[in-house]
Amino acid sequence: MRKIIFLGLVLAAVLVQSTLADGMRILGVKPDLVWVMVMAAALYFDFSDAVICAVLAGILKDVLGISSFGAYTLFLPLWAAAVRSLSKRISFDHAAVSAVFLAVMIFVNAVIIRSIPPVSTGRLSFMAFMHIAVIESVYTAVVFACVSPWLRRVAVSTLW
Amino acid sequence: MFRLTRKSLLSVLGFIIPLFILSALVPVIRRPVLAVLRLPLYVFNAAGREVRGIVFYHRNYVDRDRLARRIDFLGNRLAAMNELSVENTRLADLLSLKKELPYKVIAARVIGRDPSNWSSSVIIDKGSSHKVRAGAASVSFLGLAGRVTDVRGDTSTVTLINDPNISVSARVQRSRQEGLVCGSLGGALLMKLLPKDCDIAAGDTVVTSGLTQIYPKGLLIGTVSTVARDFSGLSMYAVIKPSVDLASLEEVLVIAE
Repeated sequence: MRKIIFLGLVLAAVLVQSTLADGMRILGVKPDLVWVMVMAAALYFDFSDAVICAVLAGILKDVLGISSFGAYTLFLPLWAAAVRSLSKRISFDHAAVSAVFLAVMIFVNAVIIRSIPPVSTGRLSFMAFMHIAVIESVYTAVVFACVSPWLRRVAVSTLW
Repeated sequence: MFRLTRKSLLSVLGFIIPLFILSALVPVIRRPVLAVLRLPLYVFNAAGREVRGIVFYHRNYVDRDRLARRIDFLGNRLAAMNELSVENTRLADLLSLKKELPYKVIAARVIGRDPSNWSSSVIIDKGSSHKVRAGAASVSFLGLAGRVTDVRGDTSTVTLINDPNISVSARVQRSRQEGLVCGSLGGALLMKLLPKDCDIAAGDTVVTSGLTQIYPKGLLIGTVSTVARDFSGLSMYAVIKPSVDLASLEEVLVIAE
């Protein structure tokens, strides 16, 4: 049941990202709530559930975007799997550690995705790219650090 | 440490290949998924509008006063312009100039935005069933907003002019200098391909040139805020402040014909 609730939260996060998140812009950049949910799923669920959450999040994010190739459908599950595997070697118990890892992950993902021709923003200047990539990764990590205790309670609760 | 064995390689490929196929199928599943998400997007968007109305109450109150004064000022100017328009029509009739037909437009409401920071687009609540066609220009009451890039049954995607993949052939209204306006994902646009001796200055109005079929001639794009020489020193570029507030676009008009 808690997994279904979490999938509902993923759907809600994508809808909020596509509608309300514009009001949360700092220096023209909004936080990526989809990454927050994927990171939480990777930390608090087992491998298969984390990947299912990430696939759903990736598909929804790509569907609401304009790209002709589902880059997030491909990469979000891969990152979720990477976090799941790394959690056996690194302790993500401290929110700061997972937030820093999330920031690095978002930045690296931006660099990778911008290098794929179908989704690349080739005309975007390097400074504009860095501006968005750095602020997005830091801002999303801060949001994750703030909401992760609540997400953990939802994920591990035995109420449902 | 991770050891690359035949079994681990097969399991990695068995994980990546279905994801890759799913990624390639995204354009195919976009239509049915958006048909399902249309109503939730409406609800979230309406809730967002109400929340913004409450959160930014004071700013909206101040804006209302400022805009009311502006309406009075523009009302007076409009009256004067109407006089000129009547005179212009009369003189054009005398010269037998071909009259331009007004555009037929389809009004649409913005129900969603691109969830990522890497492109600038909005989802509108009108699609092929309302005769919206791909490639059509979309405007707001203040000027050019973007171009329809994807059309589905009841929804369409409009890529906004500040998206880096959109370019608009433009002209400075005063000096008739032509250039190419491109997006940079921020609140400003860049007008490129300007010769180094071009006649352009801050405050100039930039409109579509009509050189391409996509954007009709004379649509307001914005005003020049700064002009500078580019890195090579061989040409100039201008930073344009769009006339449309692209970050808070709520309604658009899609030019149908």
